[in-house]
Amino acid sequence: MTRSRLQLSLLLLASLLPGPAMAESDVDQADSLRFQQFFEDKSDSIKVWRETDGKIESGRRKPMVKAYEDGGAAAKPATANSATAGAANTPRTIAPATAKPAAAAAPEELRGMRYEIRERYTLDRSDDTPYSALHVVTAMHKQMAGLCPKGWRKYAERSEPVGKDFFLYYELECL
Amino acid sequence: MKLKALPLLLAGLALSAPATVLAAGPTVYGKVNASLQKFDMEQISGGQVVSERDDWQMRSNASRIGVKGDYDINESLKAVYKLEYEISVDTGTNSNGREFAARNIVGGLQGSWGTFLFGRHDTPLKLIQEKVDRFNDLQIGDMSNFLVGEFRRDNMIMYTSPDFSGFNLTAAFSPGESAIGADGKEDDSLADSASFALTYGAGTDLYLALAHEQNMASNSSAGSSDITRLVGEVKLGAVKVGALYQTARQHKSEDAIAGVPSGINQFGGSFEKQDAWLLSGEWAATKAIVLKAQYGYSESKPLTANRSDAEATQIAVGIDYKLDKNSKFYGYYAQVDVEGDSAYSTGKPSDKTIGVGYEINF
Repeated sequence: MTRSRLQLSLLLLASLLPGPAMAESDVDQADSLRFQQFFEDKSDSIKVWRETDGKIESGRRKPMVKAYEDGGAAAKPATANSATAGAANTPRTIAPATAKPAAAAAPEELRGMRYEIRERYTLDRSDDTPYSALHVVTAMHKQMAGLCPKGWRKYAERSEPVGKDFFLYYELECL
Repeated sequence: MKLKALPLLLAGLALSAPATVLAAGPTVYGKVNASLQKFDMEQISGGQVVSERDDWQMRSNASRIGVKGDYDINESLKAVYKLEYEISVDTGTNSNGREFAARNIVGGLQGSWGTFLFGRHDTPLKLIQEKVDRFNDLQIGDMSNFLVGEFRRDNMIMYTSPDFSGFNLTAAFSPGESAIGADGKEDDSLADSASFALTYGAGTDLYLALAHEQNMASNSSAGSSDITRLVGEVKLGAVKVGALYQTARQHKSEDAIAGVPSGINQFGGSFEKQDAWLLSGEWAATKAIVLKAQYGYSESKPLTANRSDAEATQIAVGIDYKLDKNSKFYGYYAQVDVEGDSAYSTGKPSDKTIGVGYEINF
């Protein structure tokens, strides 16, 4: 193969390589007829205030990642490693995002990651959870430590009934 | 009421307030796009050059700030809004001396059945171009420098269907609100102006779109143009190739097509029809560098009998250097040449610019 043919082949090959990711920010979609997508939140949308408490939020949000499987599965006692293992389970994202287990991700990648975690607890006695309202907090902190080894800011907390028990939810952001 | 009961009452009111108020706050978006331009332009009238421009300028290129948002009315219906304003980052005010100029400002409803919007908005025909105009918003590079149809219309009522296997249908209309047309009659019907678009594959590697609008013009002017536009773009790896064809006609025999670029306008002043096409392409040479080029042509027939068409040709080439997903440096060269009936001018005006700029999207 001559040099010029080789150059031509390389040029053609290069032209078939994927280009830069197509920017799909709000301002790009504002000039299109894709209204369904335009009104959806993007991963880098700049919210004027935080959804949960109405406070001003600085900078871009990372998407919220659910660090648990949906459904009313019974809780298992948290062990020293269960929090990290929980993060490694297939987390579900509220907005498209990639959730890496804390152990596998560099600290700078974890900064700003937002998670929703939960644990089941009971106010009485339950076959589905070993946690009381007091002890479930310890289990939640073990999960948070696994997800955010460099620390975290917890900015929302709620409880929702499940059968005779409750799920305790925390929303947190890694520092 | 006892004072002690007041906190309880306030707490009760707070709890009973619709949760949706905070459930989805507004989102801010926009762009800052400014460039340094070297211009070489001239305008003629009566066969004479009446103005020339040969200087450097800083320009704001459709910089804007917008607020959008939505909230759930119920499980199947949400309210949506978009309020977008142009800002001039070069001087702070636009040609009307205002800091903000309304672009697309709409409210509406959205559900699984589609999106309904009302307000001031670009027409569906204008929006089907997506990014086929590679030099959109740039001085002399924007395709509005050689073709018509880039209308933003007041009083629009618009519906866009949900996605049907890649297809989307948009229909819009606006009442004329008694605007007086060239025939001296008022546009006083519910749907004096209308625009329809059918798109396929928006945002994918193969995009096709067809649009037609009837009795259309900018803002709240009396309608005057019937336009049909066809757009296509294909993406093959790092290469994108796009094309646009359109034909514009006067709506009535008394009308002249609206929005004719000034470069063409000097060869007749008013026109009964225009045919135009555009070819464009870009190549992402690396993850950061995009090379792009565009060629466009239009021929416009003057209303005056026995006058030959005004022909406009646009050539533009440019390079983008992406700093990240949301910001880039760019440089480009654009030129629009026009020639028309010698009764208007024997000269062939050629407008040129070379520019370097910076764009931040947020």
